[in-house]
Amino acid sequence: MWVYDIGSRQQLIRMIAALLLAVVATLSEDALAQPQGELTLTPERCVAMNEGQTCYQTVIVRWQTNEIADYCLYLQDEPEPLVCWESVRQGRSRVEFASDISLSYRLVLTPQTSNKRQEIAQATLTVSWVYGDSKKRRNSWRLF
Amino acid sequence: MTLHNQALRLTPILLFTLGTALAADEPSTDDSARIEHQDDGTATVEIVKNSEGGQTIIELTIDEGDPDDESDDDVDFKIYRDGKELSEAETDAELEEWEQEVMEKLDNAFRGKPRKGIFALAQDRDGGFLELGVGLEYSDGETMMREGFEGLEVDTQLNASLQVSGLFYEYYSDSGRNGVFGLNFLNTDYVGMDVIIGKEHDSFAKDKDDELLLPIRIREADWSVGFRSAIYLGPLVIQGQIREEISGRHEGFTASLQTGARLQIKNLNLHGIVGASYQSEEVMDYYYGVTAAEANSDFAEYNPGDDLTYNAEVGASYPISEDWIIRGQMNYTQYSQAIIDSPFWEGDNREHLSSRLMLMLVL
Repeated sequence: MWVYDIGSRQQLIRMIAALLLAVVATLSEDALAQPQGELTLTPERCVAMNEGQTCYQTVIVRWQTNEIADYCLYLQDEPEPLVCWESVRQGRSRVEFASDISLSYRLVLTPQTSNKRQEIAQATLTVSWVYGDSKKRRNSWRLF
Repeated sequence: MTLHNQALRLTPILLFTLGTALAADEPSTDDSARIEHQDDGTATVEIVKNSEGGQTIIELTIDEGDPDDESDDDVDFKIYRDGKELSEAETDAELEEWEQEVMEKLDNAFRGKPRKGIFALAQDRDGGFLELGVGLEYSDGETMMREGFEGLEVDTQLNASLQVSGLFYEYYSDSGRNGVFGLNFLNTDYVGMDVIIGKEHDSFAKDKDDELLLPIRIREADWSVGFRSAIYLGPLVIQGQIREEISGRHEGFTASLQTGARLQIKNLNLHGIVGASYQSEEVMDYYYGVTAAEANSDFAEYNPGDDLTYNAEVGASYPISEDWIIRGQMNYTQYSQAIIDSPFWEGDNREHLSSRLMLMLVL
C-alpha cells in the first residue's frame, strides 16, 4: 500500500497535467502507428437514366499510403475483398460497379499485418439519375 | 369576433391537439382535456398528459374580446410539468420538439404508402422537367400538304412536363402531339389514370400561303377532353386513351392504344412500342374530307370514313451526365387508306419512316 500526499493545490494541478500529457502522448503514438492513406475514384459518380435503376460504371481506384504493407480493397461491407496487394504503399485497380445506391470503397490493412481489419481510407461512388422521381411523370405521351 | 379571427385563434388549438394525439405513442387513459369560457371573454383550454416522466399540463388562454390582429398577445400558452411552470425558453423548446415529432409522424404516416382510389392524387409524382434538344432527323417523305419533309435536316426539340398536386401540363415535341393539360387522379404501382384536355389537331388552310387552296374552307384546331390510362406490368406498359371533341368543330372522337417494353443494357435504355390510333368519321370528314361546295378542279369531293393508323417505335437513351443524354429513335407509321386518298395528302406514301438522333439537355 502506498500513500501519495498531495501537499498543495499546485501539486495537484501539476499531477493532472502530467497525466493528461501521458494520455495525449499515448494516443499520438497509436495514431502514428496507423498508416495514413488516400483513396480516389475515377469517376466519382455513376449516372443512370431513371431513379431506381441499377447504375453500371467502370471505376479506376487509386490509393497510396505512407507505409509499405499488405492492403485489400473492399466494397462497402462485403466480406470478400475485390482485390489485394502485398508489400506495397500504393496501388491501382479497375473495378466494375453495379448498384442502385451509392456505395463506398474501403482500403483496409489485411489481417496478416494487423490483428484486426484497419480501415486506412475510403471513398464513395455516388449513384444519381437523369430522371429522378420528381422529374418524370409516369403516365405521359412518352412511355419511356 | 369575425369567423376569420375565430379560425385564426382556433388554429393553434387544433394543431396542438393534433400534435399531442400524433406524438403520443401510447395515450394514457388518465389524459384529459377541458375548455372553460370565462365571463370576461377569455377561454381556457387545459390538456393534461400523464407519462412515465410525470404529469404535463398544457394551458392555452385565449382572449376572445377586443382582438388585436397585429399581436399574438391574445393567446397565452403555458406548460406546467409536475406542477412547475416552464420558462418561456423551455416552452419554446418543448413546442419545437412537439412540432418535430408531429412532422415525423406525418411523414412516416404517408411515406411509401400509395394512396388508394380517387384520393391518390399522386402528389408523390409532383415535379417537372424541361428538355432542350438538338440533333439530326431523317424523314422519307411528306405527309399532309406542306407538312413534313424528305431527307436529312437539323432538328430541335422542346419537351416539358410539370405536375403540381396531380394537375399537370405536358408537351413533347417528339411525340408529334400537341400539349395537354390534365389531372392525374390515380397512381398506384400498376395503374395510372388521367383526365386530359388539350388541342388535338392543328388548324389547316388558315395561313396566307393557304390562299391557293381556296375555295377550301379553313379547318380550325379542335380541343378535346378525354381519359388516359396506363397499366404497368414490370418492363411492359400498356396505355390507352379516348378523347371527345368539345370545341364544336366536328363532334368526333379519337382513341389510341399502345404498348411497349423497355430493356436496360448497362446504362443504355432501349425501348420498343407498337400501337394503333383511331379517328372517327366526323374527325376525318372535317380535316381530310372535301365537301361538294368546296370541290374544284384541284380538289375532288371526298368523304374519307373513319381512320385506323398503326405505329411502331424503337428507341435508345444513354445518360452522359445528370443533365445530358443522347436519345435516338426510329418511328414507323402505316396510315389508313382513308388518309392516303385525301386530296390534301401529298403523294401516296402510306408507310412513313423517320428517325432522329438528339443531344438533350434535361433540366
